[in-house]
Amino acid sequence: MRTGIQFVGTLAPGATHRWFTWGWSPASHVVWYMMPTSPRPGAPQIDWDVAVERANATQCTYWITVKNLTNTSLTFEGRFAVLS
Amino acid sequence: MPNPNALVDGVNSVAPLTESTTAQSTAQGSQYRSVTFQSGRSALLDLAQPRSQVWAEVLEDLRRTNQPVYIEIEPETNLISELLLPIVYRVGEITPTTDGMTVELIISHAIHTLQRSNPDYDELLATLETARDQRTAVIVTETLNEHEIIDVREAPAPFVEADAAPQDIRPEMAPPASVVTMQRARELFALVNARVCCAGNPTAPCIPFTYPDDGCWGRAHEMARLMIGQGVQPEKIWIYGSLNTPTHNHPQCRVLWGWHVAPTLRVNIGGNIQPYVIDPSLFNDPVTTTTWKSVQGDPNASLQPSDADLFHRSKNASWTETDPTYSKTVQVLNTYRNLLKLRSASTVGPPPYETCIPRAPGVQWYGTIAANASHRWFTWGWPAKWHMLWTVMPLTPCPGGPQLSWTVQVERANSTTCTYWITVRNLTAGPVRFEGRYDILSR
Repeated sequence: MRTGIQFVGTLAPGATHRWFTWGWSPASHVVWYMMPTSPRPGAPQIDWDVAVERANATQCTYWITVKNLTNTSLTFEGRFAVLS
Repeated sequence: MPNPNALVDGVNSVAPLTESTTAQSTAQGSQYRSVTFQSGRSALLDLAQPRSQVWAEVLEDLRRTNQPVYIEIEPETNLISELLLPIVYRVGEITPTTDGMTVELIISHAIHTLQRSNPDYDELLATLETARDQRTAVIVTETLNEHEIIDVREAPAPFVEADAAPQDIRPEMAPPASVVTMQRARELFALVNARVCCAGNPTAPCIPFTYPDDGCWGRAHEMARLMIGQGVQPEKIWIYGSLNTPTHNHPQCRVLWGWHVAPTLRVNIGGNIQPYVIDPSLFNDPVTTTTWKSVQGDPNASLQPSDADLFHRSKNASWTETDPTYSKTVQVLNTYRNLLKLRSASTVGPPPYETCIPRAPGVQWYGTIAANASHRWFTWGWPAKWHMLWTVMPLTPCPGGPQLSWTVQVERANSTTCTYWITVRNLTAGPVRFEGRYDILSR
């Protein structure tokens, strides 16, 4: 398994934004997860969901929608793991 | 005698049903579309059928482009029960086979058959032979996947092609072919491949690479146009033979062709310049002409290079056509986009077809999900102690936006096993085939 940080994003309080990352091999099993970089104990800070597009036979694009659940600006890492 | 419930006609209008034209209950009128044809006949589309929305879109496109449609109508209800795309052809060679005839239709590189089992075999064959002998155009309708001819009619105005005589109006001096690096060839391959149609909702100006059955000359000319637009002059390569080419994009996992064409680029590799074929219907990268030929199932097939301005070339070059304004190209692409759309809406669904794809490790199931629909699958008997992840991956290409999202829920079935419930949502306006994948993170 290989892990990495694909992007760093910032969201305004309560905001939702979508990122996309292209050129990934459809043959690879890839999962996406987010990690806030600024501590804020007491409640969840971030929520996300993932959608996927088959661009062609050999490439796909992941679309990651991230929501800031807090009332302050949030910076986070967009992380991935290639499972196989 | 032709099917009395079949109609080959132009489309006048496709409109919501506003008054009762059948014995159907008007209380359900909003469920129907009324289709009127140029002959004055009308019929109904039942929108409760999932395919009917696609049929309505195709009918509207045929009306806009003044192309004929083949429909079958249920006499009791006046409902349209079948919709196919008749195409105006000239007739070439008609060759006997064990169960009927193969028919060369011009322009088409598909192998078309007339089955002796067809109850109208003699009449259809006679019409085809007359058209061949008198060099007249006919409107031919065939089945969607097998390319079996089921209807042949003389082509009346306005569907007859304007000029059925051989022509060659090419300029005497074609522009010299460009020489490019392999990197540039790959860039141009990516450029044209990015135009691939979404199979379930193909819209202009996309290129229907995933309908490999027919239309290669239109795809090739459009690819050449795109490359010329980038300042690169391509050429073309034509192959003639009994071609039998494996493909994921046909329900039978292969296509039968009498010929095929694709653009080529002269690629300089270390001072050695050779043509590479740009053919996303068969490959994911530029390939040599030898490799291109090798997958088409006929070692005795012949290759013939040409300038890019040649739109169609018969085997012995006795019949050539150009399309300097790309108007024929637009029409060809539109026809095969509609056929791709009809196939995707039919029972076989959108390409690629899972029976043609070797199942990779970690693929639990293949699914097809209708346009803008959500569907839930479940898979049981998994050890509850395993840590598992579930993902989905579209198989049907559709560049431009996300196609699928998904959520996972889990049920503890007993002390040792669990059931995963996976809900997949199609975010697009066309059906999508996908694979459902799992990964076991720990056991």
